[in-house]
Amino acid sequence: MRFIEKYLSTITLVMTAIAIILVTASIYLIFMVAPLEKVMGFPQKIFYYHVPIAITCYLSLFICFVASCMFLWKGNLKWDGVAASGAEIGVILATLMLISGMLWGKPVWGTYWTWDPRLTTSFILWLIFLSYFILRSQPNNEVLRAKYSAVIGIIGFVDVPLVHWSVKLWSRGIHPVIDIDRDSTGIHPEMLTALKVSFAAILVIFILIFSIRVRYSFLKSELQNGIEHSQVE
Amino acid sequence: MNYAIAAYVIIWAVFFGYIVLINHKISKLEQKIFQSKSNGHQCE
Repeated sequence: MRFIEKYLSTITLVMTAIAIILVTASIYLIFMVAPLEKVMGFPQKIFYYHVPIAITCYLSLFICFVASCMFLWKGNLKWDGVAASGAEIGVILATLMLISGMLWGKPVWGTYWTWDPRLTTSFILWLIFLSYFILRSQPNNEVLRAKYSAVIGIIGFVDVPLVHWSVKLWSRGIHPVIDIDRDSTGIHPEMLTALKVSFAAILVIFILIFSIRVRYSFLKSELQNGIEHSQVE
Repeated sequence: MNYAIAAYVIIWAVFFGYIVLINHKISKLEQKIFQSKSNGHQCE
């Protein structure tokens, strides 16, 4: 934990530089290099960011899950700050995943929303982590609030594998299944390159945003500790 | 075409807005920490 605290600002600077390069490259590859998909046409280009955002959302909620477990085990409030950061960014990414999916669904399926298994489980995931923040906004005891939040963070993560495997578990869904390893021969090489670069760009942006958010929660706890110390004195 | 453009605009607006918001909150907190530390030194 101390190592992370020490190098947070350096990580942020390095990640910003890498993010600018990768984002520019991904936009260029998506709109200038990758060919138009024959059936879906231009709306298919949403896929290059929709998929990486969904996977990064899982990663963010996994961090929340691990940090919640660590908080319940160690009792250190800094783990609660890390869990809250993971949950907050996870909710933002889940929102972007739902919005970009809806904007892709309208021209391709003819509707913004349908109660397809993956869409439904994603919406449930979004609601669970929204409730996490409703709970955190309550002016309770800080330790008690962190404990309840950790429990929701752990239980909420159970929905992530359900979201991921929903298309295989419930066969009546209309959401497409994308398996890069298996289908890589079916995807145009330039489309695959655009997807990989977009994935790298979103991952770097995630690390950047996450490090900034964790720094914010550490500073917040530092200020609170300072106030408590001055009150004791 | 409009749907794809709209999706990318929303994604970038949210990322950029969030980074600006958090950085703004961090600078406010740093200011508060600096003030509380300087007040502590004055008391000593």
